[in-house]
Amino acid sequence: MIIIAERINGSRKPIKEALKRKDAPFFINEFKALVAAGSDFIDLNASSLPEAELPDLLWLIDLIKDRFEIPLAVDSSNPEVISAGLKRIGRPGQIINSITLTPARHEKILPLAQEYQASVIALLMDENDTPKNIDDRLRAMERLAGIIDRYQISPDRVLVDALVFTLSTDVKNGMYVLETIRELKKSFPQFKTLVGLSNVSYGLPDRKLLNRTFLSMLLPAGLDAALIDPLDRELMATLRASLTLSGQDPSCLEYLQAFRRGELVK
Amino acid sequence: MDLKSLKESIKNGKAKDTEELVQKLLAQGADAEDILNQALIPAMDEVGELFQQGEYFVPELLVAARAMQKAMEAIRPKLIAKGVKSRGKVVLGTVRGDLHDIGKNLVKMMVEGAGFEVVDLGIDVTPEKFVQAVKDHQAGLIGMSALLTTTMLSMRDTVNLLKSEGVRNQVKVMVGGAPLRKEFADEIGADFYGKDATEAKNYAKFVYEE
Repeated sequence: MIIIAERINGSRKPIKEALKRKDAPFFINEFKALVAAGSDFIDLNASSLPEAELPDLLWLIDLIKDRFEIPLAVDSSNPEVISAGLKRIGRPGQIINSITLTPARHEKILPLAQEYQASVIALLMDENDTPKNIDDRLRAMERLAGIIDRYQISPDRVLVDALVFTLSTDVKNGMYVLETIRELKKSFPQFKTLVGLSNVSYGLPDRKLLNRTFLSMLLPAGLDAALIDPLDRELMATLRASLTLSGQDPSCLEYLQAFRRGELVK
Repeated sequence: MDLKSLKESIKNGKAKDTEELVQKLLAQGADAEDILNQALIPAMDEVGELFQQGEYFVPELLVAARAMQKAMEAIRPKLIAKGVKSRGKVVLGTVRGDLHDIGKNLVKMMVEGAGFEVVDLGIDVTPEKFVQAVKDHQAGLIGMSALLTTTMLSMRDTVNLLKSEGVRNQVKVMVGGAPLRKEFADEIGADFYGKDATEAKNYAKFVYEE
């Protein structure tokens, strides 16, 4: 299971303010905590103010790249920002977050994935439409597979975002994602599957309960990666338990280690 | 007459019951305008307030709006026959490059629920489309929604285009969405920043009742 930590996002108020005052200790502490909590990648989104996005992102990369080995997910809607970020990191094995089926969003970015040997998150949508059901998502997947093939990118470097929408507007939104992941694993097994969890609970109370329960439903269906907050202890404990329950933790050893580290209690 | 049960039925989001109650009221000779002003609009006002207070959640708002729509469909022909006009037109849309429509739809429901006519331009709406809609519909208010820091800048382009097209003084501009603040609204020359759908509705009332 690939855990991509989603906390460092310029649209969140504490991050926006820390970026504004260039608070180096704040970000170093965040990184330490995220690494200790078991992140595999740390997502960096510096888009608090559009004109500050690029300098802020480069400042963050300079701050952490020699202090931490953990790879990053460079998160921007602007290909120029992604390009400059990957160049500044200067190491292979990062993630690009993200492309869509819209040519403007992938034509500039996919060559970067080649150049910097990065993985890429691909959203199953284009400019005209967000998918409403399973069929819409699978049609988008057919198109995505064609695009990835054209750019000669290895499918195992593509994390397909099954697109989670809130239950508030359609109570089937959770099951659409679950079924999509099952179908992707059947028909496109070489690609990796990913979700951003928290959308599912938008507009509802006790969101964390819904988020972590949803995660536990998706793991046995074939979820490979998730954008989550690893500092949410209950979420991480649920993730551990679910990995073990779905047979992805040989001899339960990971679960037992987590138990000994005290990670399973609140 | 049973306007109170009708109000409760809308608040609880019972679309089918609502429709039946309205039909019954009309058959008993109730006035469509009374149904609108004494049951439908107050029901949605209360729903909006409960939402603002954190008592109601999005799905409850949606089912209430659906019930309200059923009631409107039933009384609309009578309202038209009677010559009752809407309280005013409001043009709504999510801005260019942005596909998030939940917030915009919540505003739409609340504004419609208060008796206004909404011209819904949908998502990914360019400044040109906003301006054209203002001209075509002679609307006195437009509302723009954005969920991304990168797309909210398009709001400034719309305000500027309203100016250069010479229609800025005939329309009020309200903006909203997660990344926005009042300071941003002031800076781009919008008239109002609404932090939720109820504030947007109250501003629509303010604009059309001044």
